[in-house]
Amino acid sequence: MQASGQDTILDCLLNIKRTMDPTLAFRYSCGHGMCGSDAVSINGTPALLCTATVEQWAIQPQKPQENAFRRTGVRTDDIEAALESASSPSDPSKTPVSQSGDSSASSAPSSDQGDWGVISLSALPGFPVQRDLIADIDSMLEQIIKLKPYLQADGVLATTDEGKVDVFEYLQRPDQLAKYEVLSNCIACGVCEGSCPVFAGGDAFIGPAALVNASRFINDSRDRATDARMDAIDTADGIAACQSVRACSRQCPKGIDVGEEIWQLIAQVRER
Amino acid sequence: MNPKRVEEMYDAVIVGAGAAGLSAALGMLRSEEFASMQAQGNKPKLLVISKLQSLRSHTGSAEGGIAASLGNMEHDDWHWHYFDTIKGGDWLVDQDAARILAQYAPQTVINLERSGVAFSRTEDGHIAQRRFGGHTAEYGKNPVKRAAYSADRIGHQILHTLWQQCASQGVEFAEEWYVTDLVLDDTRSAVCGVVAFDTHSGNVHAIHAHNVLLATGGAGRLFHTTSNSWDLTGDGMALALAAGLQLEDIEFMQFHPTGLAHTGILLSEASRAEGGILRNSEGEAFMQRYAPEHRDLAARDIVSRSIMAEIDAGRGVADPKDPEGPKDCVWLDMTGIAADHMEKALPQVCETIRMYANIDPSKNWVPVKPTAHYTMGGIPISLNGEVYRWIGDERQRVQGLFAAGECSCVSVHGANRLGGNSLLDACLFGERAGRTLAERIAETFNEDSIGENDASRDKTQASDSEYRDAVAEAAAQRKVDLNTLLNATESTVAGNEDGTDSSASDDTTASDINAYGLLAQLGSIMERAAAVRCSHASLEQALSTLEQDFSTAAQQLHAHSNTAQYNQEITAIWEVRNLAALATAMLHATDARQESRGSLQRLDFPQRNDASFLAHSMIDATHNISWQPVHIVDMPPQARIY
Repeated sequence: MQASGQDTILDCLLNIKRTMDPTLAFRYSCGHGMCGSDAVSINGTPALLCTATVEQWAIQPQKPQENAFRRTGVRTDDIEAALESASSPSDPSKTPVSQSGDSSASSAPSSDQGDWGVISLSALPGFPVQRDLIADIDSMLEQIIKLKPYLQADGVLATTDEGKVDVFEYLQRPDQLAKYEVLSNCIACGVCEGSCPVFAGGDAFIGPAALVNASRFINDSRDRATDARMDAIDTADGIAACQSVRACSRQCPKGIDVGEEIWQLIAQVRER
Repeated sequence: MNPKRVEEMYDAVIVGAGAAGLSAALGMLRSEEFASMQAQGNKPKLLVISKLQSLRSHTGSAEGGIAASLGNMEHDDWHWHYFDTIKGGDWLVDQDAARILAQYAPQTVINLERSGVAFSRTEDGHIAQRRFGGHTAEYGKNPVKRAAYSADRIGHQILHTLWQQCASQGVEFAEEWYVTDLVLDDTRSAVCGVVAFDTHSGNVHAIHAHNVLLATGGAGRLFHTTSNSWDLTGDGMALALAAGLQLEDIEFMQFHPTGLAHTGILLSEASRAEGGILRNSEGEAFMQRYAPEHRDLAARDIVSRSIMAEIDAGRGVADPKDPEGPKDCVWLDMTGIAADHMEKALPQVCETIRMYANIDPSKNWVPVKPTAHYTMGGIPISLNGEVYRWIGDERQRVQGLFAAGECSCVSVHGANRLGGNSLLDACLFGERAGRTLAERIAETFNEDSIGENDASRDKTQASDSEYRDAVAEAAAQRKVDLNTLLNATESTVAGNEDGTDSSASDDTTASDINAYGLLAQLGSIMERAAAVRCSHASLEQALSTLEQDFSTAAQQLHAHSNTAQYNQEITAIWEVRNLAALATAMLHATDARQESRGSLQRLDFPQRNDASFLAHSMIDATHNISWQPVHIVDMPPQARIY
């Protein structure tokens, strides 16, 4: 397809939906990196479709060398997407480049600027694939909820007396806010989970997203449940399962240094 | 996460999981009535249905702030907020509603803080506030710092906090279910339930409910250039129209002045509150000509119209990404804001500009263009969120049907909404609706003798003795519709029964327009006809296209895959049909209002006309329009000057 370098990959996929294949399935909503719905694997790296641009991600396919290693199988999570593509009409412009077992490729040649090459897409790793680029990420939300991701402060909620505000906000100085503000920007997109070599969904490692959300409340000066929160993560499938690979930090669309935050959590738990 | 099974009857179904829907759920769960019902072992059954997953709702994109006269930075008074809201709405505001909005705003914001919202803070730890367009002290004099904020991510903070609170209460969600039908009884006097399409399983569910609350958000996707997410397709409003109800003031669509050029992505009003200045192609700071007092922070409709007037006068600029394109943008000059302050106060704005315009706002001027932003009109509701019909000059309630947030119209925004008032409306009136809902459920429980089963309660809801299952009938019809959409391809493609996708068939040609292409066409038609300004001629032209060719194309849409599971095209088809119904209603209502007021600028009727149009339009699906008087309580209409 035709694309300019500054187009996002979401722009390209929407164009495919409009003009080539309306059946292509992928989640998207706000289109500018706030809703967190469009995390997928781009060239094998988890990222958001709406913030990834063609010039950032397009790569020229390399011709296999004579003596190079040859792939002997296909990754199982690619099969579904490959079937999708195989059943598409035989329009050459959308035939996926089937190099090295990759699937749902969106190739982007541009006539005046030459050939952008290929961008390979698949569903977010670590989660079951439902259709094309849609993964079932319920396990992430369930794990976030397991760690009680809500403020547990000391006061009662404001009452509704006639026209009068008879309670005030909890006070929190800017330096206290700074301790957790960036953590509260987590959009639960799952990029950190998909990047983590330990996380595999299900009941094992609780995952970086849940830990970041726990840390958000542990570091909130208004919260009174720190001990219980630390107990909840001080388990074999909690912080002990983290191997400090720190892949989770690299692509966080909100700039959270997830790996460092987890490292700090580990230190805090040990210091107790 | 989805329900394991669908209950035979729900006490309340909430459609939409943004600020309004979640506030309603919490309003209900935190009410005394709910607590006492729960204590008696009668815990009401609640289901929140959303076409998105949790935390994806568009509330999360709200940037600038939520208005409340907390007075944390300087002296403020809710009466001033009340006045500003009415003036901002060009006196089409129902003053009893605006009074509640202003009076209870501080309480609403403090409740949000105490629920966990990470507001920005003053040095002494109070919630920080900033200036926002149209918010003033002393009844229109000086700008006042009234918008409580959280850097420029207040919507994200509120959405996540409300969801966290719902999670703590174990609220049941049905995610990625799309509600296709709102089912009322024969006389349209009571709600029976909804029909929902489960996009995961591909099943159609009949969902019976004593109470239904619609909180589906706005309809920005009517227009090509919009700040709204792809999901804001006016579903709740279209459901109401299809069920035979009316929409109020649907002709009022707010265009936010500073969308990022042709992307439509919002650059928060905070960018001007922090010192950004609009300039035309000659570099002139033109807002001082249009609004000498408040300049770049005049109300949104005034700034949008001023930008359009500059563009129409040939003083626009082209989007630098499309230098040969139309000169339909102006500049936003943020270079006067100290770079380090800009990064701290406007991180999201800076990031958006860098990422989607590839320029540095501290060095370069930013191209901006008005972008469809907020639907002022919607489903008419009472002060307690109850939906009503305007029949024979009186309000007739639809028992058990509620609405809240952008899809509703309690008429606090009138003809133009002030910044910071939308989150406030959604949270405050959402919560009120939730509490009213709890009261109603409690009444129903009390009316029945204890221990009676659900079936007897159903009967008390039914309009007459010959009870029939209207919800099941609607669901059956929807299943037929679904099968038609799915199997349109089957005649041309060999049936594929093992569940794999038979996908686009060979006869699919470029001329075979699909739902996504049609959505783009609709956006262009509406943009030409009604964006920021319009006339009878432009409306007529759009209506003739929509009611003929477009409507035919929308009815002929079908899916290109016959697999129902995760088939996004099915939802897209229903969304386009919803938008088409809404678009024609909007254009008819616009045509009927022969004046210019707030966001609505008629080039053929440039003046406000209180003698004929100080009234709310009430339009139904047959485009029959009646007029409901505005509630004037304290403040008689004045000229609106900034």
